[in-house]
Amino acid sequence: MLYRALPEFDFVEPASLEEAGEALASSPNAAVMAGGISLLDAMKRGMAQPPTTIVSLKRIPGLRYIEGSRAGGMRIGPLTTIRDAELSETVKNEYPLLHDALSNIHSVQVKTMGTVLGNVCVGTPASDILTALVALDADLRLAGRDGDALLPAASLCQAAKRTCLAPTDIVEAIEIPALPERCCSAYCNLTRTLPDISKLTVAVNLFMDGAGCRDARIAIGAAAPVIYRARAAEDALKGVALSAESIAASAEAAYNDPMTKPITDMRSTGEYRKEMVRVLVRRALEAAAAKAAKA
Amino acid sequence: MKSMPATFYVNGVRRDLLVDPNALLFEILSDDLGHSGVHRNCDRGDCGICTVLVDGEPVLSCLMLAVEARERQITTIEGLAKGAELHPLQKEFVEKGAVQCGYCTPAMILTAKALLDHNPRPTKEEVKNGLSGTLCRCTGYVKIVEAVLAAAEGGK
Ligand SMILES: Cc1cc2nc3c(=O)[nH]c(=O)nc-3n(C[C@H](O)[C@H](O)[C@H](O)COP(=O)(O)OP(=O)(O)OC[C@H]3O[C@@H](n4cnc5c(N)ncnc54)[C@H](O)[C@@H]3O)c2cc1C
Repeated sequence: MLYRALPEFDFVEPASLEEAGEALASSPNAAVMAGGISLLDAMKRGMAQPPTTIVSLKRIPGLRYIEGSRAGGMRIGPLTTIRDAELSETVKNEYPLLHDALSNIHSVQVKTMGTVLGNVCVGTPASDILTALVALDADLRLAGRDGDALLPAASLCQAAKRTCLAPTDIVEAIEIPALPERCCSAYCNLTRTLPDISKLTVAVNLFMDGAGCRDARIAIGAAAPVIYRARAAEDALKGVALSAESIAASAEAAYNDPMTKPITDMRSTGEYRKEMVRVLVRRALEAAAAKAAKA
Repeated sequence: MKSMPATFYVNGVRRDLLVDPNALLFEILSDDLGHSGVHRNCDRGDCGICTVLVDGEPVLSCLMLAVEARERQITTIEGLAKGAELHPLQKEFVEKGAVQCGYCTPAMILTAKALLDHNPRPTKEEVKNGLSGTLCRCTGYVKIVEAVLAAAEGGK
């Protein structure tokens, strides 16, 4: 018998989401798998309770799609790869914030194998994609639920790499709401080297009204155990004109937000990351304001 | 854990095997089928050295279950030359001295092949982006990019 890096498991390939749900429910320790790169990596690394059954979504037809538009909202299926989304004209032209965020993932192999939804479901606070989705008010649609099928992307994570999804939950789509015409966004992040995971992420989405800002979304990642919206920073922009002063006030509010408590790890010290929250929020707001001025 | 009968098409040759679900594509190609051009390195997706093509797309064979490549066309570096005739990318890698220590070369050439198949006339920037998931620790990227651009020119 040749050496195998992965522990043993049963492998199930259901033909529909319903069957996948049943397979997950009928095994005490099952995991759903999309592209598999995060799950298999965790299993190789000796995760605490590796799944004894893997339920692959790969052979379920019709799960790889990007549909809709900016005017009506967009849906992304569970087998849509990051590469699919990066090459999608709809994403690029109608939701540039998402495009800018996922273009930060550099490896073609990772983008070819990894799904957008798999990236989100890992629940890492450094996810470029989830940061953008939080600023876009996206929801996750859970399969097989009735009343409570929609989970806001902002409520997905409870702690670093811990989501509120039950082991039997399958997200069947990402749903991004329609964007009004006068909406301007920008994405900024910091990395050690280009291909590395972000050490800080900021996504802003401004709802403009004349020269002023009617409403704002500011999502920050890798500065706390979960990706969060900097509410005070958003409030600082509501109903005011975008200017150097209002942008500086908003960036300051993000810096002082009680949620802004970055850790020190091999990528950066917490102090540096915290200082950079102010800088990246300012840069992202300036970039979005420049687009608003041009529009 | 039940083994599964699996048919793979490796470099155009049909291979019928009984595969354990926990076998990685890398393990089947390298250990079971003896494709020594499939190199193991970081084992976690960072370096891209284990890249092979599945249905023409570059994948990390260290993070893909072999059973998921059932019924699909797998290309390793051994599948590129036609007899003694090297693939244009292989020729240019030799010509430009882009092979260096050679460890990343199979993955680099396969990643470049996938890039050129999608985009036969890439710019230098597009070549760099297309190869950015495959690391050369000799750090000799200049010659690698030159070789890929030359192969693209030659193929026009
Ligand atoms: C080298 C490398 C570099 C990377 N760089 C970046 C980067 O710069 N920025 C970034 O944001 N990310 C980065 N990533 C992360 C990468 O994007 C994710 O690992 C990948 O997208 C996960 O998708 P997957 O389909 O492989 O998920 P899988 O491994 O299949 O699943 C991941 C987790 O999500 C669960 N899951 C998957 N689909 C569903 C579903 N539909 N419903 C419920 N649960 C589900 C699984 O059970 C599992 O727990 C990088 C990863 C690697 C290996």
